Amino acid sequence: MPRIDLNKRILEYIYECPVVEENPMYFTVAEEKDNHNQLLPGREQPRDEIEYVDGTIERTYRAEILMYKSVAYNPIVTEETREGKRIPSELYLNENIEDMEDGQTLIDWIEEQNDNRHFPDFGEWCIIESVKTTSTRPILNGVNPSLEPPLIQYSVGLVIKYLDTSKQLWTN
Amino acid sequence: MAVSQFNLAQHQRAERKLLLTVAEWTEGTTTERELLGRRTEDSSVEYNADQSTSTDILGINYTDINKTQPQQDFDPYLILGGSKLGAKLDDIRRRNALSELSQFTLYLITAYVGNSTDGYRAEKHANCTITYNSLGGDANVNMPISAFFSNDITNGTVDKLGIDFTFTPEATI
Repeated sequence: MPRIDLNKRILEYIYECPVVEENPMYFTVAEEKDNHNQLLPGREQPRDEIEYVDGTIERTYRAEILMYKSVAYNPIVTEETREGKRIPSELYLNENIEDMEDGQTLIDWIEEQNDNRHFPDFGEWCIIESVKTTSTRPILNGVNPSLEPPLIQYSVGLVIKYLDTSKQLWTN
Repeated sequence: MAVSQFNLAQHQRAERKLLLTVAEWTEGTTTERELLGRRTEDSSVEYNADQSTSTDILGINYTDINKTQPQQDFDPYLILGGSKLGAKLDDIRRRNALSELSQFTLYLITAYVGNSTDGYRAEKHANCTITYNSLGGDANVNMPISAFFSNDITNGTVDKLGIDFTFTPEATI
């Protein structure tokens, strides 16, 4: 049976998400620039493989999707006051918030695909059970101030559970 | 297959998937089959031997086995799309048609004996019972089941490990 390149299948799948599609996507290594994204396959963990008595095996594919965004140092709320209250900045308004929202959009998109059982194609021998994220919000990994512009890195953890039937002796 | 020999290399352990329990029943004029154990990590045939032991005046024990009542539990037995047996048991459950639980034939296929050319050794138990034990669970709906083997056994072979196998009884001498 032909081996399926799961990484390619996941890249194709993630690329269907609008906030990913409109930007460059890298695999394992990325050029760290504003709006670049990166798929980073994760390490398998204990109990990632469960063997069932019928010969099928539940497997888990883990990955992280990293999103690089330029940083705005402008305050969301300025020191200016109007009638005794601080007022929101109109310049660079909410840029960091909007950038983080891209990660949130990706998470929401993955959840929606899972609810609709729209999954990556892992071939005829694999039955995808679920595609989920590891958190309900993007994770802020850190800021690299040495770049121009400085970049912030968000990540979205991805967990795909699937049933590998290729080792099963029984045929339906 | 007169002599039982494992189709395994020296010291090779038999993988669990080489022991298969298959349920068979009829729906109208159609014979249906389903392999038991999907999404089940651990399941064994428990023989539940009924034994009686006596001790003579020298302190020696004599144990008799009066009968066995083989039973195999499948937990979890998840409600899965495409499972005909699951749908049948769920239908019996909602109608409380308990007598219909005892209309199954069970095949116990020991695929570590035999091969695809000569067939795999199997035993066919007629008039067996499969019952549901509970319904519920946490993230997924689970309906654990127990299969009770009748011991009304016909030994033989199956020609393949697939839903459309043919069971051939052993020739009797």
